[in-house]
Amino acid sequence: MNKAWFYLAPTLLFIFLLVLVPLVTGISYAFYDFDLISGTKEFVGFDQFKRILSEDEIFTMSLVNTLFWTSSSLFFQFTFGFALALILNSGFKGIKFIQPLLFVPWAVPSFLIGLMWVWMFNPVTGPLPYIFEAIGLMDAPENILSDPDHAMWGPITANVWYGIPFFTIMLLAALKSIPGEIYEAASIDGVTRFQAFRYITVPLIAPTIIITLLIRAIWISNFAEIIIVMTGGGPANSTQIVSTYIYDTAYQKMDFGYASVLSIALLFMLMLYGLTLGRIRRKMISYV
Amino acid sequence: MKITKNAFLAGFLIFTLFPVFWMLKISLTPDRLLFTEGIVMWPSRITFDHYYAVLLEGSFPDYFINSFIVSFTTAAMVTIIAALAGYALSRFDFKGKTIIITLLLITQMFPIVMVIAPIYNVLTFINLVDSLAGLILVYTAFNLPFACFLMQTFFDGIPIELEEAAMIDGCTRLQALEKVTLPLCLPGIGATLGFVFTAAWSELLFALMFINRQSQMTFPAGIMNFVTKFSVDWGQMAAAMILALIPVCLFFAYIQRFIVQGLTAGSLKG
Amino acid sequence: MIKAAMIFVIVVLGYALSQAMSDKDHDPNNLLIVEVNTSPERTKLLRGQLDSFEAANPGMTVDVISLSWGQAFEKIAMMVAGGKAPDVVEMPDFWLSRYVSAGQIADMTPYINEDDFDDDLEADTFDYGSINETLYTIPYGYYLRALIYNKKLFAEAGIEKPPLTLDDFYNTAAKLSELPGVSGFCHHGGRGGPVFFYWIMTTMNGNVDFFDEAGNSTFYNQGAIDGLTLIRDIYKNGYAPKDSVNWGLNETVSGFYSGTCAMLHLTPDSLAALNTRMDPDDFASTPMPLGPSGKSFPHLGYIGWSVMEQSTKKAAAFKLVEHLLERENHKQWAELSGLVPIYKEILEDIFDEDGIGAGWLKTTQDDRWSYMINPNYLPEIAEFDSITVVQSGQAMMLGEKTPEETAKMWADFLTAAQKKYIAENENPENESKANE
Repeated sequence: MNKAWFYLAPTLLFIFLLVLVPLVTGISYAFYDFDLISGTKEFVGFDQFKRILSEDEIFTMSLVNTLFWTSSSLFFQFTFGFALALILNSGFKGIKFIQPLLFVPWAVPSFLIGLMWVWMFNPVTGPLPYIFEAIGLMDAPENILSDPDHAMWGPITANVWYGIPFFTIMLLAALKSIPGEIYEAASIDGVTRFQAFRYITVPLIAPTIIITLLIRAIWISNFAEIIIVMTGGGPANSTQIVSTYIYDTAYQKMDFGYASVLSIALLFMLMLYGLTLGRIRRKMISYV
Repeated sequence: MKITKNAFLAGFLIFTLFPVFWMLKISLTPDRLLFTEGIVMWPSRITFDHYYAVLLEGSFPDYFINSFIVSFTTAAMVTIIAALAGYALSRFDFKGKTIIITLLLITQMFPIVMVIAPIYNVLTFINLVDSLAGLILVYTAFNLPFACFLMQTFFDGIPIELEEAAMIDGCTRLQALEKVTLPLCLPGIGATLGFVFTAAWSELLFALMFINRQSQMTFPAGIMNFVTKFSVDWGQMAAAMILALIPVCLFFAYIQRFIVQGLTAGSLKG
Repeated sequence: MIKAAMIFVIVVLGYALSQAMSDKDHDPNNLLIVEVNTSPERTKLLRGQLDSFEAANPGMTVDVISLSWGQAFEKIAMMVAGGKAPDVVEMPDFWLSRYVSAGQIADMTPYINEDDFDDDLEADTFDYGSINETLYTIPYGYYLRALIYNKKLFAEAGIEKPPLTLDDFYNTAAKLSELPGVSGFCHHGGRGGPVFFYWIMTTMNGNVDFFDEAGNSTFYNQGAIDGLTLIRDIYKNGYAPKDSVNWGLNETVSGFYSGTCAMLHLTPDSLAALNTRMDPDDFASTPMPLGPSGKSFPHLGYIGWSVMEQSTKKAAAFKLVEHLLERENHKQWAELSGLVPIYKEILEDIFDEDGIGAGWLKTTQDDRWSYMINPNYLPEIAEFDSITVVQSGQAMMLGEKTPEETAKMWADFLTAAQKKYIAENENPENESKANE
């Protein structure tokens, strides 16, 4: 018996009992005609999978929206989070007091984030429409959340606000783990700042970058609360993503079977993404 | 360079704090003025009634204590357990390692709404519905996968040679871990603690679903009391939110030392 | 350090274990009641009425769980599925058929019958709570719709009277919208709003029924299509705020009291929220406008108390339901919630002809208005109401679909559900009665 299992045992025990067992149960709904309230279950095999392939327009639409929602949120969260981590890493006067404030959004419950930004975007209660009008983004102070062409930007803004601190904390911790001696040695060798960043910093924090990008993409694509609070998937399904659609299917239509089919589809796509990123990670590490 | 940096920093501060400022403003605005004054940066008259109501009239002090117990215990549990697992994933080679990593990842990919009902059944089975202990166990389980990866990544960044040197000097593996590796890993431990603490502090769905009694509620579930079917008590809700952010700021102010100190505390030259 | 950490983990796990071992009360004299439409004041009143129940029944205790409206449905479903159902549940009309068809709600007939109540009870109360002639819930109040309007804005626009007919309604909305920054109508386009569509469709049809005798939906009749066209035009012409297409109840109420829009389709329980923010002299109520047939069919919703089938203390649970509906208790309840009470005398006490309740009082007393009840016996109604109509209604308002296409889609959905229901129940006549 390898010693590793001794270190892993507590983790595996927790995950097995409270995550894996429920997960398998959740996946099994896909093969049943299942009614949560009465508890009746009838095995139907792959019948419910046919629906997703043939006749579900909303699924296709929500898939496109999920891609847009996830990639935009991720892009801005990562870019701003990384920039902020670099700034904090370089240090400045008063950092002790400013740093904790910058982490605040991560601690706000997600439904409150939704309510807060709904308030900010509403022309009756919030300043944003007037700001947009002043800088020429809008002709008149209107609520972006009711415009089917641009509504998605509302939840994305809220999500970016919420997610920047995550990347900042993680990348800052990674940056702080780089031994200062390496930079010292490099500067003696006459390496420019940009070169040091490109050839020392990035490769050394690459594992953290990859794992945070992977996990955040998974979380964001599964993250429904902000959208549910801000737009409920509307207007006219324009902000419907797969996970809000799953939520509606499970708890509004009470169709757990089909909701599970949708979840499995999402799971497969995320696995593909994970595999791709895993490949990149292996390559990057072998280069270092 | 410095100007650009300061400009960026100012931009981040405004973006991050403006919504919080807006909530602060709402929490200080008397109810009657909330919708009658239009969009103003500061109300013509302020009141502390909402803070008074939250702190003295409702059960919010209880909710805060519950939230603190749950978040703190979860953060400590997860960090300890994940440090062990991350260490194993980083330092040992064993059959099934890829499977474990894949499994940990997959647990993150399935929507939470689909597993709430099965978890509820598990909790019923072990008789821990409606108790803080049950909530702590669930939070621990759900925060573990990412924390394991995180700890693994940080252990990976610490040269294994240091540990081996200590073991040659006569330390056991655990001693080497405690004396050499963990101190070097402080930024990672600090980040993990901070991450899990805030995740548990702000978690709503599980708290709402698995807790019934008012006396066991955490603050995010308690804040839902302000959202009734046809109106939201904005003033009190904003006040509760502002109050809830204070402990988090203090917690971050405390743990940032670990994140920043990390390497200077340990010695790499050994 | 590692040792201390290990001890910490073991202590926490030990604490969890001790919690798991502790026997939580299985007291046979303890009832559990769940409220879903929670507000702090109402919880206080409910607690008071439960205390008086405990006092009248020595030895009994009642615990209350207050859920917030947004998550209540999920949570109750989970409690029931986990075998931990409470004894008494506050049951909205659109959940009822789900739970009844799942066999989770106890039949009230053996415990409670109409003779226990006096004649003053609203005649259809027991019908509303019945499915297939079996009583499953007794409403504790009615969510009846009327129109409230901003008197100040009406005066500014030079309008003397609130709209009596649908034509007036359209013209009034248009005229009000000429005021700067004001829209005529507060449209409720998000969740909870679809009953407005049902009202305008049935009222334009001149027929309160959702289905004809063969089980075909009336929503594809010409009147229904015209009704949808009317509301679409109100929105398209800017007589409702642009963002109202996705407004929830909260936004419509704040839109009204902030003066953004001047007319609102509302249930009386929201008046309390308005009274704290507006001068009571600045707004008034009137019945919903009449259609071309000279009639109007405002929606009537209800929430009642139900006893769960899983309860092992049914007799006591029904006694509790009766206690909550006793005249005195009901009066306090109606006064606090603002709902239309189930006793007619109390109605006249609370809704004053000269006060803000005038519109509701007139609706209940004048023959030109009769109530429209959703086909709550259809298990699909919750999905139809909270998803299908919300999303496709928004698409229609935004011009992505025509009213005709939309009406067809809704009619097809309802017809399929109704025919399925008829096929499953040999005796469907009983049900269509509930719609009258």
